[in-house]
Amino acid sequence: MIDPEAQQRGLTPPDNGESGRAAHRRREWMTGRVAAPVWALLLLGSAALPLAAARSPKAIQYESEVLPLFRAKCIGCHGAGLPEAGLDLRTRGDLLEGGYSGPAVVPGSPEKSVLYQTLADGRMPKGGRRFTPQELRVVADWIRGGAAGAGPETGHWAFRPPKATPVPPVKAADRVRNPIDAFLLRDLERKGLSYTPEADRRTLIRRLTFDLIGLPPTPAEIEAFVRDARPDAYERLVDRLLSDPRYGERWARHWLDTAGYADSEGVLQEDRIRPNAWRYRDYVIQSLNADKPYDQFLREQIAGDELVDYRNAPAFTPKIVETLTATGFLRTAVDATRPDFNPHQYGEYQYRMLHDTQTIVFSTALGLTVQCARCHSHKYEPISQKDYYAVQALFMGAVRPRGKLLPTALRQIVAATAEEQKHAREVNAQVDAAVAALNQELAALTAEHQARDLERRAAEIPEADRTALIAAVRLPEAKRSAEQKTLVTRHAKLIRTPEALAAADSEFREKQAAIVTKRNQENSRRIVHTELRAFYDQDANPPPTPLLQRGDWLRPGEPVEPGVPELLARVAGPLELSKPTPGAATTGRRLAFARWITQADHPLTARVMVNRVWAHHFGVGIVPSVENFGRSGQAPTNQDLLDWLACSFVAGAGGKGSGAGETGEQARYGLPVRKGDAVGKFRSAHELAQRDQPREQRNGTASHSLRHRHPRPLQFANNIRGAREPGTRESGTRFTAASSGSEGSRYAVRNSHYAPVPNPRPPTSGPTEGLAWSLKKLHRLIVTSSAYRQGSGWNERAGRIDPENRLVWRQRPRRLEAEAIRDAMLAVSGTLDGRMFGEPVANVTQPTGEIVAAGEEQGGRRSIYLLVRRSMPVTLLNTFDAPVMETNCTRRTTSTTATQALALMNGTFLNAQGRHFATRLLRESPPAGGAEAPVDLRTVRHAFSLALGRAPSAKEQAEAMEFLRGQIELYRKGQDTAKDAGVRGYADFCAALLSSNEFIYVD
Amino acid sequence: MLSFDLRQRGRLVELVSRRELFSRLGAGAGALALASLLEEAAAAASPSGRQRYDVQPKEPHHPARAKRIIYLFQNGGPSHVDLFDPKPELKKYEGQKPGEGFVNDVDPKKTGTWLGSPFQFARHGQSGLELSELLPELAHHADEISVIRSMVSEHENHEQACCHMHTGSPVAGRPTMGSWITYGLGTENQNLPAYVALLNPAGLPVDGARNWSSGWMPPLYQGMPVRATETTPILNLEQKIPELAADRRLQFLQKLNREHFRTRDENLELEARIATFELAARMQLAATDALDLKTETEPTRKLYGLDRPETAVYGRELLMARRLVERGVRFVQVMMSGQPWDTHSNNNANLRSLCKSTDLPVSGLLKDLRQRGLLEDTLVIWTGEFGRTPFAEGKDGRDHHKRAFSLWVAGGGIKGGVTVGATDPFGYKSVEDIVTVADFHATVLHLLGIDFNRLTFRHDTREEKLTDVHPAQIVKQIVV
Repeated sequence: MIDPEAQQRGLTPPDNGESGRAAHRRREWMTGRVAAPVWALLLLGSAALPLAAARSPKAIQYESEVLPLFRAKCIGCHGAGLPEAGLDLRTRGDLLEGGYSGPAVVPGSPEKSVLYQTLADGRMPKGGRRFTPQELRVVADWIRGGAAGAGPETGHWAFRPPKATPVPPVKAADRVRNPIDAFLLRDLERKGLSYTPEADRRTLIRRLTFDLIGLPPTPAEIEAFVRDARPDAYERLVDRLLSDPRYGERWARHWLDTAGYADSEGVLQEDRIRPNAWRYRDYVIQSLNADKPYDQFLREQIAGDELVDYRNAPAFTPKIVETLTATGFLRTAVDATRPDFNPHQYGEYQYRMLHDTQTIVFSTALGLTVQCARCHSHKYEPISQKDYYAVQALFMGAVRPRGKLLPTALRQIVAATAEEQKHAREVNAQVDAAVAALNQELAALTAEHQARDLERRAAEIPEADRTALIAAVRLPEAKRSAEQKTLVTRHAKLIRTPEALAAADSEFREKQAAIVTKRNQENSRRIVHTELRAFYDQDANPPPTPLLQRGDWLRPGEPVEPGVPELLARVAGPLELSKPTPGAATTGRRLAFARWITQADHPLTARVMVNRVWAHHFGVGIVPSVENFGRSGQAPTNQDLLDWLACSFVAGAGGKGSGAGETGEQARYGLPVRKGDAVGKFRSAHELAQRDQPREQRNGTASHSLRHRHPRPLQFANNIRGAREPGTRESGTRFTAASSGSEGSRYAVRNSHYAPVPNPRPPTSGPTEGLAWSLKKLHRLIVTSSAYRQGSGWNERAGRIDPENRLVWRQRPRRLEAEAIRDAMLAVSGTLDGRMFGEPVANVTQPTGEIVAAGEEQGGRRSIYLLVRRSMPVTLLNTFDAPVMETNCTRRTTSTTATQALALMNGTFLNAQGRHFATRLLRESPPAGGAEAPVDLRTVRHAFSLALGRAPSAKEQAEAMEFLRGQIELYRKGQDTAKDAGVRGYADFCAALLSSNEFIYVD
Repeated sequence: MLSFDLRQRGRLVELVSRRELFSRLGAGAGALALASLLEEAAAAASPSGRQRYDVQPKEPHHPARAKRIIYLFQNGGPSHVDLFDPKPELKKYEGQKPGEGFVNDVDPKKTGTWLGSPFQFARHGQSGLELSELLPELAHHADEISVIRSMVSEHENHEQACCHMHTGSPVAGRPTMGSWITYGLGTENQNLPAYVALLNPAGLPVDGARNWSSGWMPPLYQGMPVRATETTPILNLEQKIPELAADRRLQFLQKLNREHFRTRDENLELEARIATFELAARMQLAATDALDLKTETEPTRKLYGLDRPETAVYGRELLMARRLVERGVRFVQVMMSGQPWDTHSNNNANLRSLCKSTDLPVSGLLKDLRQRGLLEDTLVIWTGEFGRTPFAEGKDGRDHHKRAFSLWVAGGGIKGGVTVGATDPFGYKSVEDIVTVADFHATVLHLLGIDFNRLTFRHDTREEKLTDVHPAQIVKQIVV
């Protein structure tokens, strides 16, 4: 309201409205949104005030005894928003920080504490409701006792490492396929409930195929599965789907949601395209298909640039390219900075990017909302503002929000060694020179022949200009005088264009062709290196990271050391960070963070990921707030299950998640392995650089020197066995692939020049084996459970006892996501272009305002390959709840809107797909009666089978036949429609199937 | 209905069962007729409350002065010193460098010399409200409108400033004002969208759909884009096949859907989806009728300038806006294409032509609303996202300016002929009765009967408000 600058400059008259405003604000807070927890009110209401005298002052904790008093009488003004006098009483940390006039409390001395004095003499709270003597005593004793507080809280379930409890025995032993079932049935049986009977095979294959590859099963696949009498038919189906390269496309979409992936920069209207963002999308697909262990997947994305020594590598190997591409994860945030920005805008945008990146990393990998702590210590989570900036410091090696570096260049790495780049520059300079010479030659040739041509047609030129014009034309354009230029322009119509000249003059044509050929040859020598969108440290010693007061980058405060939130450091250990040695290329901060986050017994990492996978298979997570495991999130509906899954997920990985004992990992990233490394842990490029330094330099002077951690025993139950299989971590990922795969051909794949990378190892782990961070094994574990295989039907009794299905007494019917709806329509209509990878498919805005993928009416690629331009979301996808990326999307909503109905009734896409589907149908199952009697039962049945994976009921059959007959009849009567009445009728029939509820829902 | 009991807000479980139907029942273009029926059933079956969302009409906190809004958004940042805020000093010091303390926020290097306005200002009506000669038609309504001269914004870029004006925060992702209002009040015509973004057929405004986004609120509350054209004003409203064929197809589809629902009748989401098809079919009629200007009389068309090429485009938008609010649409946001008021160069000529194409239609709208008795309870807002520098950019342009700008409001609950606040003698900075964007939002909500502090929506861990964390106070001077 008040512009502080105005007052500083003295341009503003005294703001006489101020006191009124303050009063207004107070009223607002008093009457408004602030609500004390019920327990706090009860505490006061029942007059059960703590009698301070009865207890040692030391026992008084801010949160339990003082805060309730403040909540009742003070926080209305000294709370959210702009706290009065800058004093925020909601947390002890904020209180101790004080307000505009300095600290409000001097621990140990109520007499010196402004806060106490103000309360004691009745200046506060304003408007009555003075503190009673008893209440004052609590405050005084609290201050006298040192102004203690509970501090960060570790009691919250999600901040304690997961613990695998023994698998419980249950009554319905016949339904227990793996421990998942035991944990779920235990709770169900306590309520007298059990599972819903298993779904039939048609339902199962449809559900499973959509869940794992995001497409419907073909009729042939359904029939094969229904008829497969082998006892492991289902497991075989699961393995087939997990080996399908389209699995990576399906699950990459989920990951890209939470990673906030987009192909454009955002914020500003220009919303520029990010030319290389898609490489990260492909990295995710490839990594998932290769079943890259999740810990490695995370480490590469957070610290890929520190894992490989790309600066000194003799060659930019595919592995280096892949690992650097992974850091695209930290480059998804909106980032509209341009080199031509003003410094003040530059900082604003860079900080926004940093903030969003922190939000993305924490909500994705740790299931925590940290963004609140940007401006003030978190009100709900034990994350302080200092914690927030300690985390920000982790990313500062790569970003200079206050620097003057050109920001665009910092987002890319040229995928070539320095030598290769130098060579390229030299060659390209030669090419440039040669091309310039050839262009000159061509210009001279053209001018000469144009002049000759004019000489031949001299009669056409007005006599006055004739000689001068021919002379002017004979000169190459650059050499003409202003006068000559005017002359040429005036007679432009007379002068033959090079094209016209080439057509008329064979000598010119031949000479011209020779020069153009030479020029093409020269240009083909040009060396263009791939650019990667990456996040990488600029150097080892970035400037200090300031805490930003109130999150305002223009108000930098004290510098903060890199670290992880204090509370998490207590449970998962601090960051193992050493001071970079002189000459080091990177800070090692993100590497340390990546290691820290992927340690096997981290309380959050594995839990968050298994929960996310669970949520996609069951529609709701075990922790329903998949993005928020903090205190403000929801509690797990079955913590034993969650923890067992989390422990199983990491078990078998061979100790600490840092890749302990794995020199194989070192070799994988192309790093030298030395004698002695075998017993140590994996050393990254960053650490190898450290190793070559004398010991004292390594550990000596660092302000945040190495902190030793005491390894804690892993709390795995003994029912989890197994170890990481040899070679598990070998990656089959490749960035270019060739030749067509047979898998892709089922959906009318065309132009398969990008081939699916075959999955090297179908997962084979048994249900209680350690999964060694394998996501495919995790899927297999989950989808082979009886829980997953249940029917989705309603059960009155269970519905009464557990209407929200928290106990999982049935599978949950789900609507397909936007991408799966679009992909399924393309697949069924036979127009899905199954090519994988590469640059995204462009967006086009139609005259109607609709935004569609280019060339979509003819068919299309899977939705994951469509351009994600923040300002131009594809209308159809957006209509069905695909997110418009502002930061990231941790959980999608499912809405049911009339806009969707309109798209399914009158949409261009739907109707085009209906026609394609009809064409396919009539080709594959032509009606026996031909064009004369096109309504054929066989054709109708084939349509149901393709779209819905089942035969129609007798009733549906009759209705379909009746509809088709009537529709075709109708079209036959129309003048314009009579000719292709049959196709039109079938197109409507097919469109109806594609827009039906059954098509877009999975049981 | 507007503020929710804290105890009910706790859990947000994603489920498909009776109780959660309503959260997903985003009808987008209006809630379902059967919603109220189902609501009773669901309420009975659901003791704990997952928040339900619909656009059924709701009671405001206090008696409303205005029931609906026409929000004329002037993209680009109209120049306040040329339109609403006369500054003779500028003329006096024209050509001189501004002194210390005056700076171009966009680029300090581009702080040009003071640039006076060539346009004459005069007092109009009984109130003597001052307006520029560029607005001769609006001048007839001087006693109906209130001008705020002391607006301030926080950002000097269009995107962030527009976002701030629409959502209360310069950082994208929050719901727009129309979303908040339809969330709070619902709408009166369930066959039409509750919140319409009327678009100029020439193209989207800067920042496109963000201007009417529902942010983290359900898509039910997002503005439905309606293009002011004679053909396809609403996407997919037109049938792609002959009408009779389309009807038969819909019937067949609904048979399939009902058959599918028969064995899954606990899943009300399926039933809701069946109902949305019926609603869509009704909307095809209702919206087509609402947007068809052919039935308007010649005098009315003239009133909006449909008979003149320079005013026809904006006039069409405004006439459609009137037809929509007349039929009970709660919030109509009229957008211009691109950002026409962004007069970086040739400020004077550009303003002249812009006013020529908009002044008459706007005046026509006010007149028409008054004649129909709609102005009493329809709030009309005219504003851009910021103002323009009182000094020159280049030779004859004005740059973005966040420290001062003007807007006007008219209609329901607005005291006419009032001018609020003042800028310094150069129009550089708002100095008197400063009105922030939050104040403006709070005032709009107040006029609609909503207490801005009590209209909250839980997102993540917070009870969010349109005014976000910013303190706000109602601009009482303009309220009747």
